[in-house]
Amino acid sequence: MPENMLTALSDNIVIDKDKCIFCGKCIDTCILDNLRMKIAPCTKACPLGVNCQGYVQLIGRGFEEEALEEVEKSLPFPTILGRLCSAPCEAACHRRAVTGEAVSIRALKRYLTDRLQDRQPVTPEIKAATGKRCLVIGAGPAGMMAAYVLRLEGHDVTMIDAAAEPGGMLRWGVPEFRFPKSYLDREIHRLEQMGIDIQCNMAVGLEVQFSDLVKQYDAVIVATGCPEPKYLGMDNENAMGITHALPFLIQMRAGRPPEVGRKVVVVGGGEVAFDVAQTALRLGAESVSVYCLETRNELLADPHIVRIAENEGVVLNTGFGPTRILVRDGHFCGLELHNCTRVYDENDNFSPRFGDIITTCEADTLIVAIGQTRTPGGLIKKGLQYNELTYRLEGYDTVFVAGDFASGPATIVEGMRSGREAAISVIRLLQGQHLSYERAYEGPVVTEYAISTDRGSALERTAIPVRHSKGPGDFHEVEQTFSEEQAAAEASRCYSCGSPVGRFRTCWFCLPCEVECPTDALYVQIPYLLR
Amino acid sequence: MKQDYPVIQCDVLIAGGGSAGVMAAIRAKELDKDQRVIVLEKGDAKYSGCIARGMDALNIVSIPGIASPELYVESNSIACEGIMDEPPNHMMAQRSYGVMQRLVDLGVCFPVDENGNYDILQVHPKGKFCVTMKEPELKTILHKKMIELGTEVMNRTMAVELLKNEDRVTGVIAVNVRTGEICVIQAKSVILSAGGTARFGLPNNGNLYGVYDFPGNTGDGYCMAYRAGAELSGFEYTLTYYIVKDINAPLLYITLTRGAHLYDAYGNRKDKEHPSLRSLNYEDVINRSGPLRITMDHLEEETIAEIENLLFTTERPACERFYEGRGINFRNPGSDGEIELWGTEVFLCGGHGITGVRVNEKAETSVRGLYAAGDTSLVARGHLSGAFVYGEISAESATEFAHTVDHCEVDTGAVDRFLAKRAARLAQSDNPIAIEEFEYKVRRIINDYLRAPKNEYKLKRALWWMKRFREELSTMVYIKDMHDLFKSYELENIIQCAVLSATASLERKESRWLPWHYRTDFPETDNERWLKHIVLTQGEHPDDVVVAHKEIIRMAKEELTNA
Ligand SMILES: Cc1cc2nc3c(=O)[nH]c(=O)nc-3n(C[C@H](O)[C@H](O)[C@H](O)COP(=O)(O)OP(=O)(O)OC[C@H]3O[C@@H](n4cnc5c(N)ncnc54)[C@H](O)[C@@H]3O)c2cc1C
Ligand code: SF4
Ligand code: SF4
Repeated sequence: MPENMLTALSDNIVIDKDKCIFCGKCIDTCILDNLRMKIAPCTKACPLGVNCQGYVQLIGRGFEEEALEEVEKSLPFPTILGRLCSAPCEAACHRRAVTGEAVSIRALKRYLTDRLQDRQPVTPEIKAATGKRCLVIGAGPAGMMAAYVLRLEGHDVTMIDAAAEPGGMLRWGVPEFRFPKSYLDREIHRLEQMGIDIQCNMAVGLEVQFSDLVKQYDAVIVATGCPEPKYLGMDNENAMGITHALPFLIQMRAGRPPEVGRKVVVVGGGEVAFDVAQTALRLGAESVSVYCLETRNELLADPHIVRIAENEGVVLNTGFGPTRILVRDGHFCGLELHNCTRVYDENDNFSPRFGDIITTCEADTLIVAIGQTRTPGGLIKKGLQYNELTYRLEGYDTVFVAGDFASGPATIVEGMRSGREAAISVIRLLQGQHLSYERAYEGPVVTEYAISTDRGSALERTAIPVRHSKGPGDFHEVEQTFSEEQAAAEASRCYSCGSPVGRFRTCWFCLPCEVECPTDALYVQIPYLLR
Repeated sequence: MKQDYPVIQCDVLIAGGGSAGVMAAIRAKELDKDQRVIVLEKGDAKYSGCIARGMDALNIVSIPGIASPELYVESNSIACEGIMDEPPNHMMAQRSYGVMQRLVDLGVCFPVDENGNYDILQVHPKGKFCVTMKEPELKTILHKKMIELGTEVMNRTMAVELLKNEDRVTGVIAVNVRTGEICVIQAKSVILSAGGTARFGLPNNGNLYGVYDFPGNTGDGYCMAYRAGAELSGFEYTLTYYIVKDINAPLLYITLTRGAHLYDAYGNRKDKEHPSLRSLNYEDVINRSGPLRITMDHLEEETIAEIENLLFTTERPACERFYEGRGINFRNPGSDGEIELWGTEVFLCGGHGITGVRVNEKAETSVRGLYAAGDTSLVARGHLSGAFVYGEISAESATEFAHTVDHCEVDTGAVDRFLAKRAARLAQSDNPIAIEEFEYKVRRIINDYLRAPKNEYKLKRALWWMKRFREELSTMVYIKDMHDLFKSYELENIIQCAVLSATASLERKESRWLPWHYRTDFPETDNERWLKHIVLTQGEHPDDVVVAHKEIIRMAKEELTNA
């Protein structure tokens, strides 16, 4: 921050960090726009802007209900993300930068939802009916979030999906042992209770035509995801005994468990690869090997997930990529691979290079888990171009895109974010407001500041409790929840990096900030020059 | 390149969501719930403006049977030394009791004694008009009402320039103080209620924001009106208050009306001769007998507790911290119990003083479709009562006018010029001087040359400096971010106000309202020649201030007695 005559003065805003919940209310209130939030790295990293620092601190102080409320302010679906979030907050956690081990921010969120599972989620009041009709195509995380936000605004919301049941990847892509279906059903039920009309088995392009829908509705959000598996593009990829991750997982969830051989090999290094590997074990495979291009450090999958899979018996082979699919009598029988010497180029683009070490791996089943893409052709024929702030689809006035459909394969939390952004655009559109005004602003925050590590306890990261599969047929949830003591210990590791600050020293000591603070954490001193 | 900015349409636009602004919004929505009313507010309207934490008095209430509107006109005319248009003041007093009743209905607390009588104090030369109020939530109560009625508030949005079509005001260009984005609001009528110029002279405490009046007010209302061609008056009334040293917070009337003693520096009692803020300033500036001090150690505990209770709960409750920090307890004798008063920085204000956009009793300015209320308007020394009453009146007139006209096309040329200027500001990031340092200097120079005692030499120096500052704002000051940008608009207005003030002060070649317009080169008051308004309007460009003399508007004697 550049110093000037004012900012060189002392700050008269005193924050009690044992009380502050970093909610930002004071900043919203200040009548001279004096305050800013030194935003915690975790909170800043959260695509949804969840006040991570606030809820972790609240857990540490024993205020669990308040902590969950703080989460729910920006995230209506904490049960989902408490289990499945890719947790960019943890990647950004300053504790990780300092000690290598982030605070378990995601698991603490899950802890809250488990502890308070009987409590009704706090859904804000739905505004008066507007009479406007909105359509959300695709009932995955992005669509769910979009529908939720639009419905709160009082719009009529219909959400359609091509599949037999809503949920998108949450239902079809994530295995039961990572995300029990009952949690999803609960959220879907809640959306229905809010008055969102969810219709399944409605594939746009088959049952209904996109152009008709655009005409019928005041606004449309397309969030159909990336439901097509990526192919290796090798000979024999259609042979018997070869399947791709997504159809494999869908069959599982649809109650038609696929058959696997004794020896299973999985190609891929993301979380999906481990999901299918663990699924294969549960389906009775005797051995499961995962081959990926990356080294252990480069792996895309969360190390915690990799560890669980390995503990269950999955064998991970890093630094290899397939060269040939071996087939005997039309049936898959093995994979030939060569070693990978680099995955990414200097600019971090995916550009693998291979060496001359060749290996083969005999197996009966191959599962290809190298990613997904949009349905080719699909809804929108032209190239997909949209505004990155508003998510409005180029060439349309009332059509917006969200989720993986817009971005390509990403994460649930990113999908929810773009779902919300697209919904905000629709809300503005239907109110005749400017679509992008104020939206490029990063908020009243300070991002560069010195962080003190004094507040964090010396404890090591608390291991997340797991319940390993008891063998074939056991699809019970693996990851378990923290105990009260574990949660408190984990929360105590938080440095509590952020804090409100009297950034500009333009305080008139009028006190609204202090009055509005919900926790009496802020005290306004008379500025030194006047004292 | 086609510019992309929001264009919003409304019926009545209110620039400034302080006391006058919220009251105007409430009234406008009451009159016509279907009209679209938008309030632009630089801060957050829930608290912003002078009444952030309430007020301890409604200074002018003409309570039937106690003090009549006619008496108020007479009394205030004395206080203004004749430079006061009677009709708007009469109207204000006449409606003041109604406004107070409305506040009572909204739940605002005016303490009553055991007989149910209000606490009414005399602070004017004649008559008791000042009613004690004790309501820290005054602003939030009004804000809530305004929102309930369907007013749309755009917080953190600074109105910067009025749009016109021929002779009529048709909208506003506003800047988002955080993002720097502009937006255009088309309006059928516009009410200016952006307060006075609180950030004018540099306060003695050295803190740019440690001023008496609400520091968010930088004369934006005056400058917008001026640039749109409206008449301004009273810019030579360069006000200083006489209040608690360093913290610059008031307490005079609360204490004096309850029996506190006032001493000058030599220990002479001064509370017996009906001291006013002006007489105290006079003592200090002209008689050189300051600083003055207040003592209360002779008062009953009950009275001290009552004073503390009022002082520490409403208006500027942070004062308690101030006294605590100084170790001052009103019960103590000597310097541990006394409160030292000093003159404040110089500022311009229609509510405390007589500076403002000239309005008639309908709150109409001299430009069609443009209304003004509160400290922006000239309803001399109307204080909060003036802000509330003229908030209502301006809403009534603006609503009526809005019903008779349609929107005009946006003057995109004006918007493009505005954007070009904004782009030029944002391009000056390599300049050497921070805007805060610049503000410090501008306001120091304002102190040096625009505060009494004045003379021609000093006032001309002020003009010389302001011309230079206007250039330096683009050649010397760096604008690195949106915060700097927003402040540059404020600074532009502070400089403009100084130009206006110097011009009016030069013109009034007499002394009046001593010490505030004390011209050492014309030390006498000359009612023959100068019992009139110095009216300022814009000529060819903002620097070209056109000066005119206008007669004081009086009411016929019968009107005053029969009304
Ligand atoms: C410390 C103090 C004590 C007082 N005590 C009393 C008292 O006891 N009794 C009494 O009767 N009177 C009192 N007054 C006077 C009274 O409070 C004011 O006269 C009254 O509040 C003026 O109302 P206003 O709406 O004109 O200005 P304000 O209430 O100051 O409101 C102006 C608003 O406009 C906003 N604004 C400014 N520029 C712009 C812009 N360009 N765009 C958008 N918004 C803008 C500001 O943020 C602010 O919210 C006191 C004043 C002060 C400062
Ligand atoms: S000081 Fe209070 S209002 Fe501000 S962020 Fe902390 S808890 Fe919230
Ligand atoms: S006391 Fe200071 S920081 Fe708080 S609202 Fe007032 S100006 Fe802002």
